[in-house]
Amino acid sequence: MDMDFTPADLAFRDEVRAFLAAELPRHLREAGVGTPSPFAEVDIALEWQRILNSRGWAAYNWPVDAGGTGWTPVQRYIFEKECALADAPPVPIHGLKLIGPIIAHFGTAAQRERFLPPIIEGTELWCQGYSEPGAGSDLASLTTRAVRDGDRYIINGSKIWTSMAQVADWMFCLVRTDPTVKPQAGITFLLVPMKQPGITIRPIIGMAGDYELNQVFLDDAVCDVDCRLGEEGQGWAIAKFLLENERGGSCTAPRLMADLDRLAADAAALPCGAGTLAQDSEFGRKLARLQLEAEALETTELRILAELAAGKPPGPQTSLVKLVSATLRQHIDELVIVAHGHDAMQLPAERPLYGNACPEPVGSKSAQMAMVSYLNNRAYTIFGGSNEVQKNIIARTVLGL
Amino acid sequence: MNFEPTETQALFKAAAERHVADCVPDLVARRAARAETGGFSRANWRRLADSGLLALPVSEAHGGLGGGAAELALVQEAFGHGLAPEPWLDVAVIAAGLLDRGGDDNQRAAWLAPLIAGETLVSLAHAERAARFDPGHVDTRATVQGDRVLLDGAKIAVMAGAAADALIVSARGEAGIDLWLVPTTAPGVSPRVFALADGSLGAEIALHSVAISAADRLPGGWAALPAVAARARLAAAAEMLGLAVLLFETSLAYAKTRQQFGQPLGRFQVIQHWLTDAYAQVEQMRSQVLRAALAPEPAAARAAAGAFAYCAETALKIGQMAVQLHGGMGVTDELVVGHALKRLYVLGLTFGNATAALDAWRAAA
Repeated sequence: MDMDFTPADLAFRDEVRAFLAAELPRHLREAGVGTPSPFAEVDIALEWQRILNSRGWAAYNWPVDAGGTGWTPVQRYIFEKECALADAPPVPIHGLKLIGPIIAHFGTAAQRERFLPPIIEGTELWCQGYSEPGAGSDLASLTTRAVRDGDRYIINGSKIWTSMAQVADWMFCLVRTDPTVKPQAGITFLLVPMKQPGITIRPIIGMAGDYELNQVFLDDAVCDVDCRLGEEGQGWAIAKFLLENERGGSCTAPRLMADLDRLAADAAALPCGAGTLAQDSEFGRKLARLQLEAEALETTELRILAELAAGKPPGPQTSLVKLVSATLRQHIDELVIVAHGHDAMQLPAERPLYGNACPEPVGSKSAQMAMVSYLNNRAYTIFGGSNEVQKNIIARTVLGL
Repeated sequence: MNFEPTETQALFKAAAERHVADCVPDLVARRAARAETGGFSRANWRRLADSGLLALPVSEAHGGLGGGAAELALVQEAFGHGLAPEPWLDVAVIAAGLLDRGGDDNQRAAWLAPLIAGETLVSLAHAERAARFDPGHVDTRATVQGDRVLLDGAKIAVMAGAAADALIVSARGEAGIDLWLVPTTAPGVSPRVFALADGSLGAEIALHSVAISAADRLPGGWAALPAVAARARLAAAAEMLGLAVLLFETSLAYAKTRQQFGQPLGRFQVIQHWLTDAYAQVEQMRSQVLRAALAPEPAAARAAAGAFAYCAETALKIGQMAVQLHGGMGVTDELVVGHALKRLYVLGLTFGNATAALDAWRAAA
């Protein structure tokens, strides 16, 4: 047994570090720190993507024949870890991390040719149309209807919590094509163009004041049959594959650990009586417990990675990582709020929280981000399948209950 | 990166699993072992010697098998999972570790060799009531009087204290704290044996002018204590992991079979979510134990303290959940659930409690 990276992996890590040191500019690092959500502002996300793409690293979880790097799970982990440590902003995840690998896997040759290059080059942005007003955790009950009309589908219904729909060119979308069979079997996966008369977008402002979420209305929206991924009725299986692909070989711990390091450094500087907050036993122990949880999570992710590297497919046990990681994310945010005391009350309305538009922080930059992050990150235990749904999945598929 | 045991590691793990399967296959056998003099079966203890498991933690230079942290963790996890009643941690890891790393050749010949052979038991007498969890707080005195040394003081929480043939006693002298080898038959050694929560027999020991010689000082004993304590904390964390797995498996099996309101308990979502939490906690415990077992040497002591702190707090949550899930049966002495919970509490005081380990982990950052 060992937890050592191979010499080749260590060399790769050094290569990534050198790249980040040379190519990740300061203003993008500041944007990384000032982005209180998994989605960066479009200009930032695309600038970072272009830098990555010039190195051939934009599609880093895609296979080589689709234009990706073909990296091993361990290399992907190292890359994401180093990016987290360097405060890199998120790339546009819907295209690069979610739908890209899925089109590469399930798409026809024509679909791969049509959709993949613009994702890698950042010329087309994507959003995800899963949830509906009546179908949240119970996703299979979705009712957005797609009816075949010659060589196209006519779509009617509504999608909600659609992050970044306001900038997206395409939406990958679950629709009901057959209402007569059992719910999961009647779902189809469509790639729907967003810039068309049948689509209207209503913004939804988050409780921190951020605009990410939308409700998308589809009123006789159209989509070519050529834009169907897989067969009719295969949508549920594709969506499940996407989720497992997303969670399998996940790399959530490094960013959480980096945030804990930041919190520890802040605590050492925050005055508390005659000393600093870092010297307060109660705070110190709470911080230490979260650090141990994050260490354990990192090792759990590495254990899953080792299984993937040994050729085992990502399975439902990866729900475990989502569950632990999302819960830890929120416990960290809660302790950050405690750490910054009165300064944690500030909630600036300006966006983005970097560059010229950003107001002068009260207390510190960390204090300025505390409440925004806390509020936004309450969504971590809800999106991508709520904690309760993850537990249902684990209970059924892993524990056999 | 490879989390699978090597062939040798798998052999030791299998030996430990075979030991519990053969010697304590059920609670009847465990109770019988506990009822023997000293609180465990000496015959089973000799089997541990025969299978090499007593030699495993000791360095090859001193007659052992040179087991590292990973081997210790694998074996101790199996002992936890099998509710082994033998004081392997206290005797083979802690006391033998101190003789191995801190003793001289004469002391090792007199005590370590027979310990490995399963003939002699040695235990550490370090804790004192006023010290609480401060390992550097020792009030017991070592006074030089001619060619003799006199020990005076009171030790608590001496594990396997009813069976020990010799003690390793910490005492403060002119030059600071040292560890001393003291036969339990020496005049002035007064043990009071009592039953602990896990059914073992511990002791508190009064030392009144116990006369030993300067040659009974472990020359490197006190200096070796932190490294031995680190191995003990890792081994204890691994046993807690084994206990947590046992509690989880038992609870899951019960949830699938116990019928209430016309269906198995496991059909109720609240039960499913408890068990899912326990599953996640067990996996996270395993990750912490692996992390500590595979830590490079400079980081090993801190990693062991972290794993101990994490596992001690997490395993108790699983233990308490298991009692609740088993309902009325959970509070009886008839299931492994209660036995595992009680063992967790005793293990949780290995070189201080979870908070002490957490503070040690913080201080070493």
